[in-house]
Amino acid sequence: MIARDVEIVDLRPGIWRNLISLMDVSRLSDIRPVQPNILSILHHSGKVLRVYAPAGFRVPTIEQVDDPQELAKKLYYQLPGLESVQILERDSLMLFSDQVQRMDWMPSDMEDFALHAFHLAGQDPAGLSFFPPFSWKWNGFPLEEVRTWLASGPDPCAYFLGVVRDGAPWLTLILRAAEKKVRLITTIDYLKRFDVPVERLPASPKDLAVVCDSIHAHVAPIRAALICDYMVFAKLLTSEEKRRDLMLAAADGLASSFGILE
Amino acid sequence: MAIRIDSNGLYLDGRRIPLYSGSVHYWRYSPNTWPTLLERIKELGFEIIQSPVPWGLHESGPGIFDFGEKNPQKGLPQFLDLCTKAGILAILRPGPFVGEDMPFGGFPLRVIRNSAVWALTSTGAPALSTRYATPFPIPSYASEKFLQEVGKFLDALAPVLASRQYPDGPVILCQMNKESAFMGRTQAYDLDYCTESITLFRNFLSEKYGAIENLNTVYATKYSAYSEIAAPKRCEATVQRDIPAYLDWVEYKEYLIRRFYQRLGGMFRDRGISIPLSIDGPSIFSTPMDSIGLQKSLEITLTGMEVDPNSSDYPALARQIRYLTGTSKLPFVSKFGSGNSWFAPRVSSPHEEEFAILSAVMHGMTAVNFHMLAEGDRWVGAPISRDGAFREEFADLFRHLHSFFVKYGVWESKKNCRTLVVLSYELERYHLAASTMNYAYLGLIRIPAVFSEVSLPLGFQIDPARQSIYEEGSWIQEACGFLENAQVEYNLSDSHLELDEMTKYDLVFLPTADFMDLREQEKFLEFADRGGHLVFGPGLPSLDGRMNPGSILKNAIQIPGTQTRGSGKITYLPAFDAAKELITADIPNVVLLDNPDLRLTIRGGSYNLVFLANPTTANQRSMIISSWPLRGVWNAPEETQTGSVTTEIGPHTVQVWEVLK
Repeated sequence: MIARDVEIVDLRPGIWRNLISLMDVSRLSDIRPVQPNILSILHHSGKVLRVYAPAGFRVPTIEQVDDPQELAKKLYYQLPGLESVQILERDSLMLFSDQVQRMDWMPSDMEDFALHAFHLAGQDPAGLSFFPPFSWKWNGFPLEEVRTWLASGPDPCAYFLGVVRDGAPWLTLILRAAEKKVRLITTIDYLKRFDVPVERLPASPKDLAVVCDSIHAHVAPIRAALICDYMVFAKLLTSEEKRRDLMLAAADGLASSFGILE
Repeated sequence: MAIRIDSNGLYLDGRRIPLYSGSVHYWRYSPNTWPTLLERIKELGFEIIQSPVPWGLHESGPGIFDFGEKNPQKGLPQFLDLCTKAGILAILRPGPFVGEDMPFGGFPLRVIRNSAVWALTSTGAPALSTRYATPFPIPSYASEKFLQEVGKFLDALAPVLASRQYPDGPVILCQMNKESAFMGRTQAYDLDYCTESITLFRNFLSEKYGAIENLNTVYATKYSAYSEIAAPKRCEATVQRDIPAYLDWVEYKEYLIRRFYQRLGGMFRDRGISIPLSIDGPSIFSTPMDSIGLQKSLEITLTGMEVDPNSSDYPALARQIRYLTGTSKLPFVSKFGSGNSWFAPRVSSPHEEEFAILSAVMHGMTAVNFHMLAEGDRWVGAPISRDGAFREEFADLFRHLHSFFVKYGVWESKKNCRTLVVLSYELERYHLAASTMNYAYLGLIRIPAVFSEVSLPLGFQIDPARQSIYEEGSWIQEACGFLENAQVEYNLSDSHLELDEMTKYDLVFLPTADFMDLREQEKFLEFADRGGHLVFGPGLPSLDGRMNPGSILKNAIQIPGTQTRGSGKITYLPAFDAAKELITADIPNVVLLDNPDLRLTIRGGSYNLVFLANPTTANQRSMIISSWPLRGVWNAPEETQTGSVTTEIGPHTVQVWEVLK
């Protein structure tokens, strides 16, 4: 999704700080939480070597693993609150490590590389058992769907996310994609080099939309944009009914978007 | 030599100047902006800049190099000449590894795709680095082919660099490589199993043991030649006598790193680069890095350390700086982020950055390079933006800091510190040796770190694997905690520290277990003989480093408590419950606080400065009790106050007080 030679420039500190702060709120990039709630069992030919349970989970004594997939499933349902259960055979781990490092690294960016590795891990269900089956999510969406969507856009195209809070731009994320990959990641400060007066941007969602013309002219035609008030955005992050909420906000003049709901 | 670096700082023609620099990566900008960027850097108070020189960027074709002849943006000579014109000195980082979020870490693809340069895992796979922008195989420190290729790059670079060395040009220091320990893959049985490395391992054993019979005696084996010895691929020790073979493998990796940097340093010297060379230590403690050993070699003048300015992890930052201060000739943070990488978990505010910088200063940082002072791509929060404009809120911080550092002679001062906590190389090696697996998959599928530990029921009284500084509840962690709670500043060092250096301290804490090299035991007792106070525990060694019976410490003291010895004392302290009675008398504080959540250090020089840090997220209040009047010089009231001073200090804030003696 993100090209290996992606250009990442002009990140306005305050705005980038806000974006990073969203990681906790929205689990925008929740691929590896800091303290994963994962029960892990290591065994060798069925004999359990190590069990690691997250704090607060009382795991029954397990000495033998006969059917790892079944055991993972059983423990997952037996211990509510776990993110997942993984049962790993020592030699399978060694093999997996070896195979990952023999993968073709030359054309890969890190994301492609990690995805291939996860696919590889899924190919040995007896040796590396995960329940529920592993799925790499990005803000609640399966990563592969996001990658497919991004790759299906016009070439080149731009994406814009603008959030206004207390009368000032709170978040302005601009992406440029070409040849199915993100090639530029920036904020509105990027437009300064084209003499766009970004310091004096209007401060309502409707007014912030004027920046779209500059993005269109200087970055790429916009494929999708979402410009909204912070309260709307915060609600959207966790909403189960994103479409409905966005339409309601648009009707109230608190959001405008295109390429999102179509 | 026109340039000298010692524990007091950097000297040019005998004149001491602060080693205080900021990065500007010439190749990231159009040459038109170079003069402006250099001007801005000077305006922030910097007279030294630093830049990497990426090999992969300058090598435009196999063996063909462009230093600005074709692409002006790669014009290193022109950039350095501009520095001269602007009166700015330069530190260069010609790698060979530079990182900087560049594809393949800045190596040319042509070189890194050649399997002859790869470090190999225990299963024979190339050891891939997955910490940077793209995956790539980690080069082997043992690979002659890799060194040959590096030599070609240095052949091309040397004419540019040699003629621009101080005093003929602006370049005063050359920093070799980055991530000096296998690019972070330091697990014992992960690397390096390539043929050349295994040959070197055998050479190392041969140098260590001499005749093969000597090794056989220690290992209880019957090898007839070193060529028969295989490198261990996992820890399978079942009795204590098995352990030396595994410890040797871990120690070999220190040897491998040392040898690589000595070779690399020699290659610079052979090409006429005569200025001091430094290396960039990774943020790890002791093995496989041998910071003190490296600085003893002729080629390496200085080892620095990279620090991420994370205000919310003050304990980690303080520990890193204490280790740097206790091991490096000059406590030089070679890469202190002025801002953050784009994917950092948080972006620091100017206030948070101030806290991190002053925290580093209070714990001993005496020389620093601020990374990305001029913003490159993939970076956020630099004080100077790409177009040469100031980002005022960050630029102001650097202006104020510079004025403060100059006015109070901070870079000429030293931290007052009479207490040292020593990491034991033997215990840290054991900690690494008592493991299996490697990190290649640990991160990818989130395997708990404890899975890489192996349980070794070898009958030790004290489990050596639990006595690493990385282990929660270890004696050494308890020692650090004890001193911090007593608000006593200390340095961290390791057991490679020379006795003469150790005697600069009054009190030394040393973790011990059942085994310890006899010469090391003698060294620490000699420290006590010369007037120091040695505190050790939790073990009373009864074996030497090769697991043969023998103890010098045990002969000196058998029961917990303190005994006088020579002009000093030794304390055997199995646990810290009794520490207060045994050792507090030896750690007097000149300035006292009544709030245990705050931290305090003193730097002495032309001025005596008390640094007071609040590492918590809440406002704190404390009484400062000092024998001399105090006057606030940073974040503290400027009026002179005598006796007890009550101060309030905000969250993540450092106050500085001048002691008016």
